[in-house]
Amino acid sequence: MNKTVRQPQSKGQTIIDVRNVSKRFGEVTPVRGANFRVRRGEFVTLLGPSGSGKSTLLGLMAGFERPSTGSIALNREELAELDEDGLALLRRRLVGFVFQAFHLIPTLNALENIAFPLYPVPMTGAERKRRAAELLEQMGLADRKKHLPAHLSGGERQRVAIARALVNRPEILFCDEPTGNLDSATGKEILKLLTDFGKKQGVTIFMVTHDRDIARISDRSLYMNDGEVKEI
Amino acid sequence: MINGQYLYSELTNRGRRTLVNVGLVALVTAVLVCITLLSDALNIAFQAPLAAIGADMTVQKAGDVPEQMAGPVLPCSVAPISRSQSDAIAALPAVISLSRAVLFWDFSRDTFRIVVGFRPGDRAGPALLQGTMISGKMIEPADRQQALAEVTWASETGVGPGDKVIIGGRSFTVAGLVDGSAIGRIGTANLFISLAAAQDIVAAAPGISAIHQFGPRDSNLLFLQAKRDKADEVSRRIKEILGEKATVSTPDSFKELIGGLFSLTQRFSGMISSLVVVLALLLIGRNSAAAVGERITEIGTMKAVGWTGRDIIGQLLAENLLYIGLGTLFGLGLGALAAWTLSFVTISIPIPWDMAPTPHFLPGGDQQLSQEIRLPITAGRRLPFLVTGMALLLGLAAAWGTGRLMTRLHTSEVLRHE
Repeated sequence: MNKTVRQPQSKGQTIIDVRNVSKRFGEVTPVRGANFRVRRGEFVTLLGPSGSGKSTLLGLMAGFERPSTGSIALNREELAELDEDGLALLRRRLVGFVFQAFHLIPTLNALENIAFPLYPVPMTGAERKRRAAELLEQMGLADRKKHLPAHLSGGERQRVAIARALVNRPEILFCDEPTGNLDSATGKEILKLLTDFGKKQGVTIFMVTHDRDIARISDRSLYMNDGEVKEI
Repeated sequence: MINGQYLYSELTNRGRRTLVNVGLVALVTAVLVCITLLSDALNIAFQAPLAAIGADMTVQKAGDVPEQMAGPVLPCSVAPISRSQSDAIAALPAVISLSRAVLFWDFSRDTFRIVVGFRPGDRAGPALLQGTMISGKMIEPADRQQALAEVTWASETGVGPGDKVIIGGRSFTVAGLVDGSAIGRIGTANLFISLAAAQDIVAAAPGISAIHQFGPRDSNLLFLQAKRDKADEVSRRIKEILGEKATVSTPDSFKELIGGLFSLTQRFSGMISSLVVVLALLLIGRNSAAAVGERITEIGTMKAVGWTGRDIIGQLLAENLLYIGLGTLFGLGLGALAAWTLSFVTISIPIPWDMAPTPHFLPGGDQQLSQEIRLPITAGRRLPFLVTGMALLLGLAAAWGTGRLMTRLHTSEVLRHE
């Protein structure tokens, strides 16, 4: 069985390094000279109004898009040096993703959705299932494992999505408005789940949000407006 | 790495898409199987009238109509083929064997008989009657006094072995009865005599010498075995030897006369098959592209959670190949069912008028002569290649459709809020 062995990393080391990053789409420049670092184990929120470039920056940090200028390193690996498959493998190894719209696979049940990132990983089906079932249990969804996403509530779907983001034991969790599609109570519950797991597993959380309440509980907040990122 | 669980879930939970894709491939495969089997069967069927007399082609030459129907006359309007001409035809490189025959009508003593002279022991033509003997014995090549009677004619006229019959004013003893229907509708007659005897009668017949010069070694009907792929060339060379009045009948001659759906299928089978395959390629390519299009967010999610491009293409291709595989299997089943049904169909192969031995002015003579044949449906050697080739082409189309859209997708699609 191929098991990832992670080198011990000391807390406080830079894990996300964004250096003078800009992104231009024709005449539009949604990200202008972003420059910041995130330390291992930190919970950082990125605030800002709609259209301020938050999601574009997140896409750049996750390697979905290439910056027009500047550079980004995750865990000291320069994204610019990796091709598309290299970026995918880096995400598989290092990153978990939680989306506002959940993006669960509609044809897979809750358990299979959680195991989904492990499908291309060479491991036995039993091991995949064991890891997914463990997270499902921790998310309090053990009785929903056979349910398709269409038969789950919004909160349940997001819990499945969080479990999916954690199943590959990531070091960084990118969250794009994870409570945006949920009511206030469910949002709080999801947030608690995320931060608890983050802390327990020593995961660095970088969260894009509108919600200033979330910012208050984070270790540090960045504010983005007109493509520029400022520390607040 | 292809995941079977995901594959199975996509197949079962997207039932409509699975049904459409599998159904489409099944339909195309079934149509291709049917057209191929039908086309092959018709090809065999068109060869049947000639195959029954062991020939690949027959040769006649058009001539003048007899002045009066009395005594032995050559059928309307068959002219003699000289020995030197038939020797030249026999010498053509693609001709394997040549059997000469003399076909004539005998109007004598208020009776009418169709008579064929042939050489027993030949590889084609009435010589094949040897295997259809019902009673009595076969005649010898040099026999000038014995004849064979066709069993149906014999029973209608009350003639049997040992009886005397007069042909062209000469007396013949019926040596045996033969089943003329076993050699089909070409070259059949009421009475069969040796080629030498027929040549003697025809060469001496005043009704024939009045309009033709018939030498003692001439004939008027040739049965050829020839290389089938050289049929057109042989036909052209025969016309050079005999002139433009030569009538060369090949399996194609029967195709000309058959009409309706069978004719369309036979003539355009290649084109129909190609069209079906092209249509299927376009539909599968489009479906694959549409499937990717419908799953943009899903594919973005796959990329976001660490699936490489190769993982994604492999998975999507596996889905498409599964559709194609299942569709091909169902299509083969459907095609086999259709082929089984078609194997009960009997078709009527019309015999060209110039090959019909009965005078058109006699009762029933003006009716279209035909040979009834049950469609010989058999899975030929090319069918497995065709089906495999089509499945591979569909797989390529699916790969093309998938790959084309995959290159246009951006992972950032998943960050668009719905």
